[in-house]
Formats: sequence, C-alpha cells, structure tokens
Amino acid sequence: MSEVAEPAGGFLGDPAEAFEVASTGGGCCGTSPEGGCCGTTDAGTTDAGDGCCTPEAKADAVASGAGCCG
Amino acid sequence: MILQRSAIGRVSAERMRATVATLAGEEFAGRRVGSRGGRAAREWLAGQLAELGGGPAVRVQEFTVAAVPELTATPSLAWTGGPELRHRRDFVEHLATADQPAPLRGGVVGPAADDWSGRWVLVPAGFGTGLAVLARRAGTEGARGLLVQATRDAGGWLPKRLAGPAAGPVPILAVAADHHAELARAATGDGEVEVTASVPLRRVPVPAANLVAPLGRPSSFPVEVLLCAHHDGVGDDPRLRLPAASDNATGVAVVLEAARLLAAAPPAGLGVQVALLDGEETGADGSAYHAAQLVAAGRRPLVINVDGAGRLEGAAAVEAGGPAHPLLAALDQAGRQAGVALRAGPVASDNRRYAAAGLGAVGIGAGMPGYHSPADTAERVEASTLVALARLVVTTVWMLADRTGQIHRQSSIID
Repeated sequence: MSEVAEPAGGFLGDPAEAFEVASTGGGCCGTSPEGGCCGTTDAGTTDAGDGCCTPEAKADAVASGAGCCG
Repeated sequence: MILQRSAIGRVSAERMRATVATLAGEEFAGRRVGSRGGRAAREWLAGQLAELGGGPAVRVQEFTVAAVPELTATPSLAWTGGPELRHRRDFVEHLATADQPAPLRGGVVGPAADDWSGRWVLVPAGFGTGLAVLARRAGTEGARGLLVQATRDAGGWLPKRLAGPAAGPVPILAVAADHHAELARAATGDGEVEVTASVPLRRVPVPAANLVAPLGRPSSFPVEVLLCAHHDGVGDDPRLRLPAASDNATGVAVVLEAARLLAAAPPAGLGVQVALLDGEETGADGSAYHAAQLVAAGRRPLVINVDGAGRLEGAAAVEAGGPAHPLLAALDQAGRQAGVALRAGPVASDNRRYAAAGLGAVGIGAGMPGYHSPADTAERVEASTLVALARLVVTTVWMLADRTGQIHRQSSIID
C-alpha cells in the first residue's frame, strides 16, 4: 500500500509573512479602499479603470504584475 | 469536533451547482443591479435564505445606485473597406463614453493632427496624454469621438465592466489591438477612410437591495461573523448573454451552503449573519451601504467575503483589511484542516468596503473563468472548488468559535 500524503492547506510559505502581505491588499489596490476600485481587477479595456485607483496604487499594481485597475 | 466533521461531510456539490445554474440562467439575465433579472434573482435568493434552518428573518436593505451604465442597443463600428466587427469580440463601449445612439460618420486622424473637427481620433496605446484630457479636447473641437485600444482576454472576449470613470463629452469605443492596428494602417494608406460608429449607452439611477439574515435567533453574542457574497452581475448585453456564473453565483452558492451547515450545527458563542450584496459590480455600493449601517449600529462583525469560486488553481487568494488578524489565523488553521491552500493576493471586492469602515474583513477568491464575458457560464464552474470553499468557510467559522470560547474560558479563570 502506498503512502498517501496529507493534503496541503493553509497559507503557503511562512504564515506570518502571508498575513502581512494579505493585509496590505496583496500588492494591488488595497491601499485605496475608498477609491471605488472594486470590480475592476481586469484591465480588459485600456484606460477604463483610470480614475479608479490612486496613481501610487496603480503603479504598485503594475509593478507587481497584479494587472488591476486599468 | 465529531459533529463538525459530520457536517463538513454534508457539503453538497449538487446543491451548490444547482444554485449556480439557477442564478446564471436566462430568467435572471446576468443579474445587473436594478434590472428586472437582478430583482428576480434577489427574490429567489430571499426565498433560499428564508428556508435556512431556524427560519431567519430576512431583511431587505434598499438603497440607490446613482448612475449605472446601460446599453440600450448594441454598439456598432465599421470603416470603409474594413472587416465586419463584432461587439465584445472586436470592440466595446468605453465607460468614459458619451451616449451616442445614432451612428456618427467621419474621417480618421491621429491625436497629433491639428484639426479634429468632424473626425474620429484614433488614439495609440500608451499615448502620453490622459484620456480625460483627450476627451475634453475632442469635445471642444467638435471631434466625432475617440477610438482607443483594448486587450482581449484568453477566451477572445473584451470583458464588460460597470465600474469606472464618469461619462465624458464624446463617444469613445475601445477597439481590439489587431483591428486598432488595421484601422491605423488603413487611415495612413491611399484613399479616404471613414468610420461609422454608435455607442448607445445611457446612465440610469436604479434601486438596489442587499439581503441580510441572521442564522437562528438574533443574538447578542460578543463576537459576530458576517458571511457575504455579492449576488449582482454585469448583466446581459442587448443580444449577448453574460451569465455571471463564477462572478459571483459561485460565491453566493458557497455562502448559502455554509449557512445551511452552520444553521444545522451552530458554533457555540458566536453569532453568524449572512449578507447577499447588490451593486458590487458598480463599485461595491451594497457593501458600502451595509458597512455604514453596521458601524452606525455599533456592530463590528468579522467579515468573510467570497468573490469567485469557479476554478481553484493551486491556492485561493486572500486579501485582508482592518483588524483581521484573528480571521487570518482562523483561515490558516481552517485551510490546513480542510486541505485548502491559501495565498496572499488581491480580492478587489466588497471586503474592501467593510475594511474601509474599520471592520476586520477578508476576501477570498478562487477563480473566475470567463470573467465578465459570455464565457462565464455555469458549465465552467468546478464542483470541487465549490466544495473546497464551502468547507473552508464553515471550518473558519468553527475555528473562530473555538478561539472565542478559549478566550472566554481564559477570562473566567483570570476573573
């Protein structure tokens, strides 16, 4: 009988680090929760998300490859 | 714990798939906020909530969304000698567009041209001047409108959105990159090229409503958990269905299933509420309204929001805001117990509104195949993802109840 591995679960990697990253919006627009960013995670239409996030949040998002907010 | 394990085993993939299929069905027409289909879906969901164990009182929390973009007909785009273009495949309305129901005809120029009057302005990708500035100039100089570039998704669709910039002074269409380049070539070649386009998109104020229900009797527990998911979608186009299955019929199905199990095996010492939210696609309007109501009433539940449970690829994304450390710890523990891997990642959804109001909130996302397109169908939703997320949510609530109990026991010993 072969050994069955326990299913992986919980936060990948160091949970403390994951908590920290999760709490900063995962590098996306979480820095601007009042900016009406919700529902615009996909840059399907060029510029459609402009005016959604702050320029800083948008730059952060693009730099991190998150592809959020236009 | 035996009771809990037994309840976890009763998570029903069939029930959740049926919920997703119903919400994504033709009758509800993509569930856009304020639409007939949206209202019908909400009425159906109110019935589902009322059937939960304990017979909770379902509250309908009404509010207004000020300016919802609504296509009154299918936009059109064609140019002299050009190919036949399809809405949402080859071009889409841009949210900063003015309402232009009748086709407008005119020549084509680039933004560097001196005279825009009576012409469509073809804006290259990455053009240095912002769209708002270009639109203002176009309005002032009497341009027909702007044609900007868009990117198709993996399925070849140009996703639909309702949240974005306010309407500008001229019509604006976003054209898929290949056709945008083709038009640029045609416009600089021999012979006059004329573009004819319409964008029948008006903005209307609409009534919206959240559904809020406590599980069991309304309680005065010191710790409350709010399970939520948005029930609205981006809505069908005039001639295209956008079923909004993964986004977010799946989240609703997961929350309803979790609520059923928690009603059958209530966590000790913990109050649980369910909120099915409206107006997320227009900018999380429903959660903004609900969060303000909670704070005004002095209530501070821990919020678990599910947005997207269509296809779990590796690990579910988790975003936290506000005082969410207890939630993250419980989620981590629950993930280990339920065998669901988690990663820190953006979940741009209602959780942000609750966090912005000062509540501890997490958003959980596990895939939206076909996001905001006709490809977001019930058939593409994976039953295994629905089951994984329902188990994760239920186990997280029990973990929070265990922690709450431990804190109370420790307080009693100290006292």
